[in-house]
Amino acid sequence: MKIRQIILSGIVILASVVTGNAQVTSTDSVSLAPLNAINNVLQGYASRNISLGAYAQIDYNQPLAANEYSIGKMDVHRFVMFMGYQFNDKTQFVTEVEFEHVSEVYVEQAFLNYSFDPRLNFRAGLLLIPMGIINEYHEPTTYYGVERPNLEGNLIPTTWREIGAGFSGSFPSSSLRYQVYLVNGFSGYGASGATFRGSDAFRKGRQKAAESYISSPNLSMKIDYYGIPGLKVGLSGYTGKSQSVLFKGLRKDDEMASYRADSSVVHITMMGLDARYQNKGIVARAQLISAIIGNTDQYNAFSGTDLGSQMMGYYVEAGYDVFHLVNRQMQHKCVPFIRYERYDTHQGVAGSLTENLAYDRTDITLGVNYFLTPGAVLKGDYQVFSNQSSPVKAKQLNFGVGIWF
Amino acid sequence: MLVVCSFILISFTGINDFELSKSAWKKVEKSMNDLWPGFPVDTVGIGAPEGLDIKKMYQLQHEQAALGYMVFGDAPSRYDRFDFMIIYDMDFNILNTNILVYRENYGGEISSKRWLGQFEGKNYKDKFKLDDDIVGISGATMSCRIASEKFKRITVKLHEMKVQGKY
Repeated sequence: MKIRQIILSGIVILASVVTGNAQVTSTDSVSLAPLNAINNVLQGYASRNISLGAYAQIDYNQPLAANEYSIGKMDVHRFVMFMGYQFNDKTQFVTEVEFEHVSEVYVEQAFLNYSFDPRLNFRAGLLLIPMGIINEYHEPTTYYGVERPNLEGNLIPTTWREIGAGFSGSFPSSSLRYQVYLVNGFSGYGASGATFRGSDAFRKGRQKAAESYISSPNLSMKIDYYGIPGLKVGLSGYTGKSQSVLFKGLRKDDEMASYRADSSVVHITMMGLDARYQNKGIVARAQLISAIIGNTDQYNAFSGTDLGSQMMGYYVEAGYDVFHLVNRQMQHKCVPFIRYERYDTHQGVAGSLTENLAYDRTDITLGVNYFLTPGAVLKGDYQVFSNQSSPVKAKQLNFGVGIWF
Repeated sequence: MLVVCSFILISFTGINDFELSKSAWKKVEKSMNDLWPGFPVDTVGIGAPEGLDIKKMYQLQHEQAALGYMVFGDAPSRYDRFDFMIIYDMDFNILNTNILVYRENYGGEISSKRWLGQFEGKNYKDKFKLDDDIVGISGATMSCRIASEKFKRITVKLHEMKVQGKY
């Protein structure tokens, strides 16, 4: 073994001398001042290890009403820049900076990944919560319709991300991928009071990692199986308490204050089951999300809001690339699709709260995704929104542009 | 199993920006063991066609009788590159493929043995086309497409060179 290493070292040194590498190495170590990131990029030293990318979604939403005028909305909904740096084969940093509605700036992901092995990676930083499909795979070329499914916004507060750490990995022989993270949770009671509400549950409680505070960590997990050709199935789980500023400086012997603080917190358990299928021009996906929220009677009574104690929602979606029939060599794809969503953020209520039927919603989306290339798509769709409290249906026409590179 | 391989050749290629890690080499050994259980397999470095990101190519031999070929290469995923291996028989029919290193956070599903199994038996006549004779994986579509196209181009080129008498 040692002899082989000595021979190899000899060969490497010899080769370095022949190719002139030896000279470069000695110059680097002796005379070059450390380069900052910009110099590294400009001089091309680091370009091999830096990855740049972006995705963007530009929308036009036009509500349609029979008896009144309605105004449309035109919006650069999202423009997200990706940057990754590969320190070496095992260590990388990934970040996404998002401009939402042009003027709001967020960091969507920012984490360090260390790969012990493809089966065991350690991650720490700002992580996407692996719940359902869209929260992780949210680039506009990966889903159908101008807007993301409404289930994703109202039950899963997409894009849901938190600071935390954990492990991920995949097992090629069994076609399994897993993720387990300990993360910060939603702010259920912040400086301006309660954030959770009946219509969209936790959406306003996202801390977005902007000076977020933590009073109790949460656990997030997902397992994906992709061993059946064309099919990918995922099972997600999330559990933990919401965060509350009332715990700040709370004296442990102050019973009254402890009671108030406990009332400002809910316990969240969310489960998700999703499936995606793609084969021979057919695309289909389905997702089921169920959440149980504990302590909502105290939370609602304390803060005067209307958070439900159970939520449930699902959607099914199917599409077909009509060009697959005509010419399979075409780069363009034209995929008409239909999506049926049913979601209820008041499936269960606790205490004196009465169920609000307006939160039991059904959305139908019918549209077309026209892919110019896999990374550029033109979208158009028609949506009908209804709920159990009223026979009136709202309608909307949407057009959009989506890119991802 | 005894796999007698040309370590010096493999290590030497590290100077040219390609080096197999221990874990990658284990995958290679496992693939060869699955294909030729109990056979000592020698790897003899040979010239590879240019312009296809092939980093190294070997003829596989058992007691100086040729068994097939092994190709190491890399290809782009969305934001990075991944390393792969293809093992062919003497007529450049694919016997086995493997993703040796996948560096990116998304798309790593292409390492799945089930997915890679779709390439076994394919040769230059096949389409290697996603959504046609190759079924993709949701969430890894781009990597699936790139790997399929790369395997196709290499297979076609190697067959072409064999017809020209270069192998």
